[in-house]
Amino acid sequence: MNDASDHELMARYANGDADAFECLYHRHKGRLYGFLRQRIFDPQAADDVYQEVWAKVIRARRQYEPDAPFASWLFQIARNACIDHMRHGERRVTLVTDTGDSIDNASGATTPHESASALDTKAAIDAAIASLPDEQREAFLLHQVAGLSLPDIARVTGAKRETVKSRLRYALSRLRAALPNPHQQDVGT
Amino acid sequence: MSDLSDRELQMFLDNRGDLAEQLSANLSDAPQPSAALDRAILADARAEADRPARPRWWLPASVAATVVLAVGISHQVQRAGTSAVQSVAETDIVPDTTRLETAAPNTVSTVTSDRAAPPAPPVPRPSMADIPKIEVDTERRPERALGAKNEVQALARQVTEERERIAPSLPKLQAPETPPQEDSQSMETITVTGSRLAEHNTGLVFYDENTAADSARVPVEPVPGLASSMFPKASEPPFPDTESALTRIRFLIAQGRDEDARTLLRELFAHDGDLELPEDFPLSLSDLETAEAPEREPGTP
Repeated sequence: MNDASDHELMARYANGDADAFECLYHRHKGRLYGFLRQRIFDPQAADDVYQEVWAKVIRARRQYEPDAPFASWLFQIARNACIDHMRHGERRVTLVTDTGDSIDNASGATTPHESASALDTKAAIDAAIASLPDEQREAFLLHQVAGLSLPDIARVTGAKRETVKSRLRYALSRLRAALPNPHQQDVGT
Repeated sequence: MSDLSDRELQMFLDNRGDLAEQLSANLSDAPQPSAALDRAILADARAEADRPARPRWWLPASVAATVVLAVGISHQVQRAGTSAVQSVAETDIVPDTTRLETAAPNTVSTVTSDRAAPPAPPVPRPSMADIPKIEVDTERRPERALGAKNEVQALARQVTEERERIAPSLPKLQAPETPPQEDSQSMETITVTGSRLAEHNTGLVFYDENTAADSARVPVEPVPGLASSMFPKASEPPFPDTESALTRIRFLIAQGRDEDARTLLRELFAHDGDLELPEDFPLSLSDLETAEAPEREPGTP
């Protein structure tokens, strides 16, 4: 069953095969959860949205059309759920690090570079991602975390391919500047 | 912040280069959902999988059934409203059979008391037997009101045809040599009966007896021996013989119309010189003589 494609698993689940869904779930759960945790900084809210996204997948199993990759469809549902969540609640960009420290970027008092200097590399990268404008962060996460291609990102976000490319360019530039030793990054070599 | 070149961007999109590796390494150990969350989602998925699926035709069939029901109910409501209106209309328009029978001649008899007019032959009034009897089924159901309407219209046309058929005989009743009477006081006109077909604003036809007086009036030559007062008013009963005439005189006296009573009694004596009045009759021959005597003016011989 693990060799089956996402389409086949979804079709089998639509016919009542719960094991097919379990395989599909384990295949995509890490990327989806990581995407949501980067988009919704409240862990409890991220769990709720995560469960809501899978519930929508379950309810819509018979309406699924394999005209696009399953991951594209899945993350489109996730993106809409994030938008609904942000509409209903005040968006507060708070990053809780592994050490319990938090970086509050809502006030804008801390620049990505200043935050990165105080944290280790991972926390700095997380902080840099969190400080990105929403559209750039979304495009970056859809590529880096969800693993979607440029056309799939354009399909999920409803933007043009060149627009997505431009957002990614700006996001990478900001992230490279936020890394601990940006001048030592040998991009392209 | 230095700008990213197209080459660097393309390398990142291909997951090549130090930047891509550094970002991937830090994002690869992303948090995973809890086991409880996994169990809840998988249990939900299994519960949904065990639920019997509705057939594909279920949604179109339900929509079609809803549309059919909505159309049927609206049609019924519309029909009910129309039937109520037609029921009321039918109550208003269906004519009474007896009214049709009496009103069908549509004649207005005018009796002139012009003494100078020459006697005319008896007036051949159209008998009721000549008028086709029209029967209307008033027990029809309200939903048949539309048919009743058509039937009433057909009956109205039939009555109109009868009127037209009778009409040529009516002008013969009027003496062609008689010039128009300038003095209206010399003629006494009594409307006996009449009817006119009027069209209701709803397009339905009904009989309006109140407008009968507006219909064309046909003057009738006076019948010898009959005075105008012999004809009863609309609210007074007719009398064909002497006994009835006496009864009518009593009726006029009771109403305080003594002069009319005396006139009628005088005409009755003129018609039947051997008439003997009952003892309890309120008028006598002496009353007539007293009334006929002109009053003297004071001072005249």
